[in-house]
Amino acid sequence: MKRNIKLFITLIAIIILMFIMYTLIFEENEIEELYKDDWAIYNYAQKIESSIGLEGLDINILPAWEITRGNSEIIIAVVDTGVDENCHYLKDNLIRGWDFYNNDSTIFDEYIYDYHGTYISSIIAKVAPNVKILPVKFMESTSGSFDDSVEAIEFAIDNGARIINCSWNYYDYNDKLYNTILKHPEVLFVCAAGNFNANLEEVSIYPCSYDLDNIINVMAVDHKGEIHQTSGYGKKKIHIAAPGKNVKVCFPENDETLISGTSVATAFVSAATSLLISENESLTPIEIRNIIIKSAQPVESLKDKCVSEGMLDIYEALKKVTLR
Amino acid sequence: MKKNKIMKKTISLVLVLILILSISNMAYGSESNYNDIRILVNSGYTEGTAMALAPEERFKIAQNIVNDPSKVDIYTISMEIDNLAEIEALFSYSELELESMGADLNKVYKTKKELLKLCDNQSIMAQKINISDIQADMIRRAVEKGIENRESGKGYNKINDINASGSITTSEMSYTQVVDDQSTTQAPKYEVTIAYTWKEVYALAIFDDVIASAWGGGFNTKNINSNANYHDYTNIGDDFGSYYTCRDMTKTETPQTGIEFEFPQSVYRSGDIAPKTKNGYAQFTLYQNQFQNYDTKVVSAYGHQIISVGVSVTISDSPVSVDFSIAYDETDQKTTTLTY
Repeated sequence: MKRNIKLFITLIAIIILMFIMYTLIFEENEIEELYKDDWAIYNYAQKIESSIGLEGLDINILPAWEITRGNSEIIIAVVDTGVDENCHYLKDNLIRGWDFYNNDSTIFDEYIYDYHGTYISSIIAKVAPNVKILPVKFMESTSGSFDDSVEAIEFAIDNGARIINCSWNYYDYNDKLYNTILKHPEVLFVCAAGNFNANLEEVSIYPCSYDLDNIINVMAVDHKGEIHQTSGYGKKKIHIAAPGKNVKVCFPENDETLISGTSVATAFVSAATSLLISENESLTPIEIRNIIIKSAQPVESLKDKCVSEGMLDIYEALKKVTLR
Repeated sequence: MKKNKIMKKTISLVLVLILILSISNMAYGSESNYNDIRILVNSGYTEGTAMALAPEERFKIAQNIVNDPSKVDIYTISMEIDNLAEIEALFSYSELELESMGADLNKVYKTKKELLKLCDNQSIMAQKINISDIQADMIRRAVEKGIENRESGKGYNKINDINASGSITTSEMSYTQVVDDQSTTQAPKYEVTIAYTWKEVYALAIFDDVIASAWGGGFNTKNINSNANYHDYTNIGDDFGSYYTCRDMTKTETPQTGIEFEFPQSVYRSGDIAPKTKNGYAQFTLYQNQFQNYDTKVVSAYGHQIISVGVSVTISDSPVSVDFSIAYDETDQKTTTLTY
């Protein structure tokens, strides 16, 4: 009788174990299927554009979502081209913005004019689904004016933005833009290192080259941890790297594609900073920058290429905020 | 008869020796070529800009780097052309307007024809150009928007102060400037070499491009040479095809101040293909007869002419600068100090 009970218990234990293993494997497969072409969110060494990635090299957002998906009081301004609200990621995130390019309230005009702002917003919404995105248009296609950019930034700040995503660049120092960033030390500007393959220790690319505490400069890496071929870099000027090659994004009319560039990398960092502020609203821009730098995951190719010598790790960054 | 046999044997032996020597030379040549490229790439060239140089120039620069790297200042930067914006602009303007901007009308007709043909069938376009369906769709939209702009009289006016740091359907160019200090103890002498290479075929090639350089200190020039290489291509956004020809660039010098090297973005050939410039280089030596104990600088930049009004390039020695009008997408300028 005793023997039978033992056998029965063993059998039950085996069944439970098999069930747990099956669930884990099934869940893993489900996650892999969900992110099979989205290495930035979950890199399990899947093939992207026929090359295999480095397992684990992603923004580490899955465990971060256990802590927060963002606070709806936090606003990131996408000061960029227009944004198509039909993108499925953006359904609940967009708040009413303004178009300084055409001086009207329509924030989406044309597919080919407004795809850039749309895909930048889609990344932010994917990573920080509960934060609000304020679309402020000052570019069409890929270009815009200094004057409109200044007006757009002021509008964004007046409307409550704590973070300004600047996925754009220019070569010539501009006083107006410098002063605009300078006079809002409480607002964080997340800036792209540019796609000129430039060493920013030698070449000035703005706004990155403005030496201000409320700026985080971002370079781009691929799914293997290699620097994206056109990304700017700089041992002291660039703070962090983020996914910037073959990243899955949403285009207007809900089209999805892979795209590369420091614009994309910048959006990931903007989203990350919004999650940090969601956890602790009293964080200052320089505190956020330091947390982002200190929590970076080391990447061999980034040695001497940026301050953190690593890639964005949102979970580690959030842990540092929650421990404060 | 015996003499003939000996003769034949001797000739065979000589031929075999020649063959062996030439093979070993080729092997040595290609190995040496490979080493030169490696030295240049490790010092800051891209593989493309290193390949743009003639082998003897590559060898010379590589040797100088090995001898004294501190005397060779190398600077590389990239530039991206937004093909979509260019396609839209092409269809937004009339032929007359494009001609007044300096476009070659035959090339304009040809490019429009090519693009319209591609737009007839998007999926074939995507396959042919090796781009995604979305990119193919955006090219079609850019063509349609351009036609709409022109028909409505809206035209195409974009302010280009700031550029998005990411776009779709772009073509990338790398540009390397090298200043090699060859001064003796008595006199300053600097060799400036500028190399460029396009990674992908750009959409429009209806204008001329310019490499411009400016310097201070009243340096004179000598040993000026240049080469723009033209390659076949199948479609925009794709890799370049086989080499077709090379052309000397047109030089315009402002004595003791600067120099411009101008070359067409594409050249004619029979049939449908007009090869586009893939890579090339310009080179000159700056010299003075004796040191005067001053410092000055040299700068250079690449200007890729795009569709826009007001085409001009200005070089100046005070301050030392190269200024392109908005009709060019240009690389950033790196300043190298010259002591004289």
